[in-house]
Amino acid sequence: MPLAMLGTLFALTLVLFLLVRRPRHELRGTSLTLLRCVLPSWRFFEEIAAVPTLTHRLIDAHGAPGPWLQTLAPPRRHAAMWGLHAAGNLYLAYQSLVEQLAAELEDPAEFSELSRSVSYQLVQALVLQQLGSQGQGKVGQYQFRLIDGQTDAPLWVSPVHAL
Amino acid sequence: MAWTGTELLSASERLSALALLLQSLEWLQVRGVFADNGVWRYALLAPEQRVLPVGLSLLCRVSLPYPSFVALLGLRCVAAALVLFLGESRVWPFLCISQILLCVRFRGASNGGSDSMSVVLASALSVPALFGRTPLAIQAALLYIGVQVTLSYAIAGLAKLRQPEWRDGQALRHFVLSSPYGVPDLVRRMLELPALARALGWSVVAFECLFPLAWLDPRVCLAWLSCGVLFHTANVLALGLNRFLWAWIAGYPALLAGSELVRVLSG
Repeated sequence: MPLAMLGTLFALTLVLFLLVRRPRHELRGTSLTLLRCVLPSWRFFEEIAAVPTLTHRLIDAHGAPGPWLQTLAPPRRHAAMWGLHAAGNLYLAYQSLVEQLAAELEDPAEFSELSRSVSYQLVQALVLQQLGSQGQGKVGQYQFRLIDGQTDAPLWVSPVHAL
Repeated sequence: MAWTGTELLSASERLSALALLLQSLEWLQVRGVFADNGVWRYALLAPEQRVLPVGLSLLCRVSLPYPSFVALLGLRCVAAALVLFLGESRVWPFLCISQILLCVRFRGASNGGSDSMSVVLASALSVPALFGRTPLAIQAALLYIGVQVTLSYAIAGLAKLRQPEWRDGQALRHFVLSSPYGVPDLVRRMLELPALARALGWSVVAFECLFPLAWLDPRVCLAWLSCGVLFHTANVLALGLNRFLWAWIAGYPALLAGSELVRVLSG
């Protein structure tokens, strides 16, 4: 009996292996995307890929740009993070927002109407929130961009927006 | 070492409730992000939700705007606490629906796999809550959770096995060293050793790929689940993934039920 069970497990594992050999498809369609939690892919940390990093800069009233600053500050490790780790999970949620925008930028159809995309507007709101928390007033302009987290190579730069 | 289905269901319910309670408390701590001037303001999200099925779309319009969503999180805390401290299981359908609503609020998921596992747990545990705690409903719920937990490890492991960078240890080194929390010097130096990085990478792949063996026998299952606890503990330390720890551990009693069932069936 154990041999039969081992054989069954082996066969099932083989089937799974053949299934995961197929290329991964992103869910298309807003309805499916919004409900993707009910269709788990169970693929985590599968391959090394460029992680987009969000940076922003201020442009003063004379049009002179300031330095690019990292928008998301990494959370701090703390003893209670085993249970409650709100800052860490918020950071992960923000980062997945940035990755969603980066994925949309790779799709020419979505790229053409980017400023109307929800991801774009959410990332813009994130940048504005960070600027607000840094005490930035309502004067001047700002811009944000995505860079490759490892090489710092720019991936995409937003248009300039008024504060 | 024989547990009854009811005992294992109860254990899974309480652990799942703990996982959902912690998630809800975390979102309540940062509730400002859902406000009308927060990053996840409802006005930006609402247009997308119109494409959802009518009933769900209506539910979203009622429960996801700012003050209502905070109330929903509060109600989730109360419901999860009722299961955790009083064993009240009739609230599972509410926890299931609110979990899906929470994922929709984050446009699919806020925390990747842990959201999906939470939906798996809450939906399966709703079955005995809706249809009565009959042996069939209990076994169905536990088997569904057990199969999903097994798939989560096996698929993740087999997907890694395909990648050369997992087989040569590069991937593990990359993911650990790029942790936003930083890495202790000793761990960094250890991972710089190619042989050690390769061995650790293969350990992760082997643990995940061979996870289906946990079904063979309750003792084997316990050994595998102990490795699972260590694995998720390391993930909390290295990557801060605390939600994965609680969500996956909540599914472990279901695996014990599965291995017990296989033992009984195989005589």
